[in-house]
Amino acid sequence: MSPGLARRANRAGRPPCGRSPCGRPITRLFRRNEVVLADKRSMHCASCYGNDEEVLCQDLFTLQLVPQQKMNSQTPSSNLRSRNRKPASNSSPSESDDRRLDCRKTKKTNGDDSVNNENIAPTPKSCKKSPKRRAKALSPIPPPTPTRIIDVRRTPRSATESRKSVGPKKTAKSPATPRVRKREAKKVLLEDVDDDSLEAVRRRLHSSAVPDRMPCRDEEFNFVRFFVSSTLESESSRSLYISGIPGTGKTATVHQVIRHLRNAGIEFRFVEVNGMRLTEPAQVFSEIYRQLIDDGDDQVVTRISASVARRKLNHMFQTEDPERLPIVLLVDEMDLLCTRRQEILYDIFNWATMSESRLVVLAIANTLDLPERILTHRVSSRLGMSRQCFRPYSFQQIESILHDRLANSAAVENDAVEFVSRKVAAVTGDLRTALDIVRRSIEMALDTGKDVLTLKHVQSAVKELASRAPVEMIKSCSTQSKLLLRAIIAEYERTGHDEMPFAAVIGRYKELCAIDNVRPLPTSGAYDCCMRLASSRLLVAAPGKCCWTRKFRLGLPVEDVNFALFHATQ
Amino acid sequence: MTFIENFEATGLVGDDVKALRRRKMSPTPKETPSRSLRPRIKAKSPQKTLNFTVKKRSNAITSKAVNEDKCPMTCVRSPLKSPNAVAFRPVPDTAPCGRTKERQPALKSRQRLFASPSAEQDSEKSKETVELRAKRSLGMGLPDQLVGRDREITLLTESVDALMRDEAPGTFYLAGQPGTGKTATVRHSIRLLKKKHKFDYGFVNCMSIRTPADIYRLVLESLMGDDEKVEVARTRLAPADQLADTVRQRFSDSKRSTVLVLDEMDQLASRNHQVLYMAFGWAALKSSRLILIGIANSLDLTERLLPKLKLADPPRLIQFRPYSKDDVIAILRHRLFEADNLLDNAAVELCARKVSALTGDIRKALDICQMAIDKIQRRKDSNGGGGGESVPVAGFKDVLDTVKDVYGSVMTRASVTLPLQQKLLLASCLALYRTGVKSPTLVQLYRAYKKACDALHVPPVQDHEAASNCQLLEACGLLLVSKPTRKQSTSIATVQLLVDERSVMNALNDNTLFASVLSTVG
Repeated sequence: MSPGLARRANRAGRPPCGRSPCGRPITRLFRRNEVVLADKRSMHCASCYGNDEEVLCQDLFTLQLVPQQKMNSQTPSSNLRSRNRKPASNSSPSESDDRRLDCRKTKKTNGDDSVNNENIAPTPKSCKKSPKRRAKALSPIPPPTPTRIIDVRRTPRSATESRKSVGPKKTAKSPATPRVRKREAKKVLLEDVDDDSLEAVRRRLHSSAVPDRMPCRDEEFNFVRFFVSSTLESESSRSLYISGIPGTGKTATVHQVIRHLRNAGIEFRFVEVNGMRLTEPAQVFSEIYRQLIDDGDDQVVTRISASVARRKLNHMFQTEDPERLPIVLLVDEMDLLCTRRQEILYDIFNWATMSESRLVVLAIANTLDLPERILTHRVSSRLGMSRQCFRPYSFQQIESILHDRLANSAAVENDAVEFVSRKVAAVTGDLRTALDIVRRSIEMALDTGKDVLTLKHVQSAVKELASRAPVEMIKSCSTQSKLLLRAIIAEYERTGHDEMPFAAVIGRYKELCAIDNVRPLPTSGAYDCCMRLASSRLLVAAPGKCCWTRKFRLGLPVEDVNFALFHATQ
Repeated sequence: MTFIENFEATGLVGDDVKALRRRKMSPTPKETPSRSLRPRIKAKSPQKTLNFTVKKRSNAITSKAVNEDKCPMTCVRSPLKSPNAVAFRPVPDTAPCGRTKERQPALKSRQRLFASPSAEQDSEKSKETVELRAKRSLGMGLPDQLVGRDREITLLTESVDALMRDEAPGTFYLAGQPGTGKTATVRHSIRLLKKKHKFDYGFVNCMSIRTPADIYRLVLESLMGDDEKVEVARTRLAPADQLADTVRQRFSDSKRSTVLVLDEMDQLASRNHQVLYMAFGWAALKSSRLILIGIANSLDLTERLLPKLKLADPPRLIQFRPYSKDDVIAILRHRLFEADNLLDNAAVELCARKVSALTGDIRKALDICQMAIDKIQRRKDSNGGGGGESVPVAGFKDVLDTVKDVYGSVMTRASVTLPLQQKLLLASCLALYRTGVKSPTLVQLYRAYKKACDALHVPPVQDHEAASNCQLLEACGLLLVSKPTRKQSTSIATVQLLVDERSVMNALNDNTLFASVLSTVG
């Protein structure tokens, strides 16, 4: 194997969003190798893929170097995936349909979380791969056929042939449909409870780690479970609106309900769409249709335009078909599907008013009163009156959840947990923040070589998370830039206008230089300095060419800049 | 004999109408279900052998209702006010003849309210709980019998019937609030008309169109049968003009009457309303036999948007009033017939009064009842479910609770307790409001908030956190944060209270805190 690959794979730092380790934008990289990305979305959120994407393009670089003899039966997709998954969750496509359904289910619930996993915590630990794993992942390098690389995001399926046979049909160009990435289920289990070290605790604390139970959400869980199960039992259709601020466990609870009902042996089909993951709202229809078709039989429709999917779905839900299983449809981030005419939400909730459809719609959004405030009457009338609100966690709840996640580990002081929960509950009540703070503070504790998490670590982590990028940027500005900023603030305080011509700024600046006993930059240099500040949007420059009359204003609130300058001088 | 009575006399009511519909609607699994709802003559034939005894009283009531309809201005209430006046219902004990019974196993799982309660169903009854049956019948699907819309149904069916007999075209416009039974009325009327006439029927929901070309295509598709599907597929990529021509041809030389329903018609409105005019123009084509039924919410859509129609032939307006209290009671009783012990009269009346006083949206009433039944069921479950059906159920309290939940203010409904920092922000916003700053900028708000924090000895959060807290308050429906455009500075963003002072005080739920904040700001 090439030494370059090993070196790159070893590199701990992550490239900035959407760029390869060499700094080239990923999409361009792909084009140069004449590989078109499989779906649009991966271009959009290349950053979300994090390390995966990095690995992907590294392989693109190196694949050409690999001699053909090393080919083996393993497909590139499975090889690439195998780096990031546990062997236990590896499912082969030849297994029975039930198994397939099952693993798809876990995939749906966890696949996205594992994306977050890499995104949220780029810990140095997770980037480094253990030598054993690396060796296993990298030794059999697959043949570099570009067409295979397109399939990188999919698990190998037996239906590949049938998809190929659909091939010619694809020529009728329709807007590219976003497809759910077929990721292997990477379930971060809370298994190693016995391990009490801080490192084990950190692993357990990941916000994507799927807990088997949701403490402090029993009431909501029971409500949703009852709603879904009773509607399924009575073979009718209803819709429920679930609201709550981020990080209160809305989606997790719904997923848990689905798991619970499946375990209870109730037969239904679960379709999940997320408004955030669609390139445009209308694509929700193709997504739903694709998931419905995909789950059922082998006939795989890879690409279907939104309007066709919509017509088919409308038809499907209007006709009574006793063979079809009832469907539970989860619409996450519903507010993003609100178009001007709201015809998309109208259709979705209209299905749920038809008794033939046997459809349960669970719509999730943050806004408490979205149906009343934003939706038109004809949509909110169809949505119905069933609501469930997820309240922000109180500090006792956060504390008990944290203790639950930490499994009462002796490595974490109780004071620290209480501090975090009080801090978070006072501001937002978002559990994810609390988990992030604890995880970050454990990392800080580990960095300093301690094996007990104390209050001090938590406090410094809170401080770190609270600080803000622009403020940091001002703190690290050059002396001259700081002087210019001070000059602008002084001018603002004198005149009261927030926009001022460069001539006024330079006057003030020269005065300040005289006071500070700094030799002022020449005018052109000062102007250049201002433009550099403007490029990072600490300043905003009005359009114009003439340097004297060009107007500037601060890109941040004055308080922020003052605060940052004040701290910088200390 | 009036039109409705004709149908009643032939016994085509209730169950067999439904069965007929079922048969038509549910295709065999392999068959690609047809999009058109064109009547199939085959399906009709067994109906003639059916033998229903219709209650004598129903005829009397119907004719009375119809007589009253002669003067449309008088407000005709549904004749079905009391639970024992189950007018159109077939007499329970006379089971339908063999054919229907054969079909029943397939339909058993989906038995609806007015399926004749035969012996089979009695055995089923023991298996299913009352709640399940009640919930099924409370579903929002099209019922077999529309209660409380007799006037509109009669008006529509009679006029369409007359037009069909004269082989004449005609246009109708149905207007009414959401949830007043417009679409259901049309579907029900079509169901009745299909017994009498052979005609083509197309139903298009205009909500699902994006361009004018879509509407032509959808109209064609909804009218075509299976055999003609291929043609439609060929026209799929045709330009809009060509499709429009095809539609025009389709309507101009028709041997049969065609009923075309355009639901949510206001979605067709464009700048010059060309499509709307064209849709109404189809009926005015030479030797056209199109009966166009448009449905929308606004009462004056045709007058407001289409003034030129007045010159030619204005569409006949049928107005749907919001359901009155009595209508809602009748509907709920009708639906809850099988589970009548579940929600008592007082509960039903409470629900009806509340809904009719606010919107008259029947979907809301049905939903409230379902939620109340949910509550009953959950209570039963939590009691261990040992009592079975013998558990005394008083529905009134549940309905009251549900109504409170549904119509209470958002914050009480969710019973959200705000975190302290958000309370402080909200309190300072209200304090600023009291001092005359109606919509402070974020910076102003943050300053006031910081002062309040200092006074209360609470460590303030940084301003970007405060800004994100403002957004969370916006999600709670308390504040409105205006979003500055890209060019404007973020400090320009302003904050406004979305609710009145009292609701803010309720949300704060802490008078001392607000008093101290007010003292620092003022």
